[in-house]
Amino acid sequence: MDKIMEKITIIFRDVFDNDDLSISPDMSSADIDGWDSLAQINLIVAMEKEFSVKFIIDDILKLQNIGDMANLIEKYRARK
Amino acid sequence: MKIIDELIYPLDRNFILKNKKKIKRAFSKEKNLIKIKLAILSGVTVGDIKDIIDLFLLSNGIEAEIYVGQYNRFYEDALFENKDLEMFHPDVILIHTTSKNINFANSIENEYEKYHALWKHLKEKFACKIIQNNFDLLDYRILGNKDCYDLSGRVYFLQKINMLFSEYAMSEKSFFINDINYLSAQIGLEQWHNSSHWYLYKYGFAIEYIPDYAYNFSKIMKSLCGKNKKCLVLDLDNTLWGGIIGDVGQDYLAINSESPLGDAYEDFQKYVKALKNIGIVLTLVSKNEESIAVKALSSLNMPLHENDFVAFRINWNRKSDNIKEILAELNLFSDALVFVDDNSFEKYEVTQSLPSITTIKSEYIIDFIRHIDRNGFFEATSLVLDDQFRTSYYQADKKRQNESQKFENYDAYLRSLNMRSIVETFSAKNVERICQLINKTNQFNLTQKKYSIEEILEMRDDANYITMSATLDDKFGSNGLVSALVAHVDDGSATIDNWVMSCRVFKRNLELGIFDSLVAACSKRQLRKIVGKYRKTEKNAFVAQLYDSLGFLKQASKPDYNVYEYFIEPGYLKKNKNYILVEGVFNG
Repeated sequence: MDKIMEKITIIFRDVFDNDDLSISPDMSSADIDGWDSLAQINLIVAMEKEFSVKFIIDDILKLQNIGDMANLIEKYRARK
Repeated sequence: MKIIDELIYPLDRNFILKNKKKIKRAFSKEKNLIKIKLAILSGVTVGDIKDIIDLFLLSNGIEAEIYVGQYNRFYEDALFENKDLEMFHPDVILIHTTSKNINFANSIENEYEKYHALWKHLKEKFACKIIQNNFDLLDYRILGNKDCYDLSGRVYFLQKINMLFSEYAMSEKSFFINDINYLSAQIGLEQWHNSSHWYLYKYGFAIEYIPDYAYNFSKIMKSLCGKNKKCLVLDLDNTLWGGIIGDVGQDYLAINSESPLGDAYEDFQKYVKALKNIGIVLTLVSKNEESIAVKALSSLNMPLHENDFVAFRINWNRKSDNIKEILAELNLFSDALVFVDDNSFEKYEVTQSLPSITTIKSEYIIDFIRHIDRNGFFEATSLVLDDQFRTSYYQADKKRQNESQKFENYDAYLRSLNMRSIVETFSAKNVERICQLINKTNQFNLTQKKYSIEEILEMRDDANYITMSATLDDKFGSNGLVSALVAHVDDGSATIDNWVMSCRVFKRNLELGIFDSLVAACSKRQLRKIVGKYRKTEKNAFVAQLYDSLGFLKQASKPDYNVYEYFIEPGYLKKNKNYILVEGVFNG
């Protein structure tokens, strides 16, 4: 799980172009400047690439915060 | 011009999408960018496409201000009152639609008419350039193979409407097609279509291919802005033919269908020849014995011949030095060149010394055509008759240079050329060439002001403008239309808005003949004063002294430009003293 959070952090830093950004599982779009629908798309696509997974639409729509994202990735990876 | 490797084919899509802000910062120090206003009207999500288009335009020296219309409102945005768009005043409108926007319940004609009405309306309202996506095929075929030959088939529908779009584009000079039908085929429909990206975000195609889409579109834009490459610099051994001629001799080179690789070299030569035929200038830089290589070029039975090249340097000098000589000989800048060589060391040496030169990312014959083609270096938005003759223009130039060495006195040489020029008001038959000349001339370009075809036609018919184009011929051949001047008239004076001249005819005193014609036109209108401006750029130092040399007086020095004035004396003596016979009577 820590490994996943590490990688997610790098993705967030890339997408928001901020090398100092630190994230935690309870953070959501309200907590990060510029986290709009466009950034959300880029986050999802980057995560799918990084972890070699393809999320199904229902799962993407249920995401509430960063912790949900990490859990979803773990769930998909466990299935592989 | 800054070259960013990831923005050259094959694109590093992932890197571009993830690092768009970093890449943008890399362009922050670029100067002398062409500024342009681009409106993107949305049929499907624009989103990141806007930012990625911005990057590809910057890499071509274009700084775009981009307006994005509301999601799926392209029809309403275009057809009904839209204050924002009107205030924005776009130079170019991209209509970003895909087959997702087609209503297949409509007839092909009705669906086409919807777009046609919109283009006509935009043209009247904004007089700007319109770039329209054509349509990608769907991911499914209800009728299977018959889908392409049944009146109810959607493959048939899309192919037919694409054809109607193409026909409209052929008849309309300021209308261009962003060919996503080809682009999606190139990528493969199975990759191109992504249902999740459509259902979730309403992107018309997979997000991964946004860079490809943006690159494809930016090629049209940079071509319209006069930023195409002009010249190919080619190596010989293992680039135009297989084998090293100095080792194996010309009879043992691979250059025809007798061997698999020979076939590839022959095809590449044919491709290069086809580029020459649309006006791309070919040059050779090769490490070889000149006599051996030239003999092969003139005697071997292959698509390219010695006289297809306007300049060559075949010797053992550093390639970058040879290329610099060619640049001086052809009056070109290194950002107009594409260098193709099978040797990565040579590529490195050349790009270190000439950072603005472009190379392709392969050293292997099998890739050459694809890499040159995908990068759209020579994207043709308008083909003008002049383009096809460019090589012969340069070749006549070479004869002139040889001739000039016979004369000790340059004036005597110029008079021996029997130069003739037609100076006339802009005419409909020349309007495309005039537009092309104004928009892509860098060196003899006094103010950088650019015009669309529509503006050129308007100025021609406006009594408040004096417009002039000039050709130049001599005993070695024709140079075609090589200069254009636009001046507006007010308060008893004429102000030169811009004046451009092709670098092919520098130092031929044509500017004197044109200036005489301008003076004559002013006198006829009782104008006593001519005002000129010089706006300095990195590339137009050639004309920094032009107005001084014509006898203008400097009136003001502003931070970014100087203003000059010329008073026409009653007994004006022509400056063109028997250099050029100005044939066309100019009646401005």
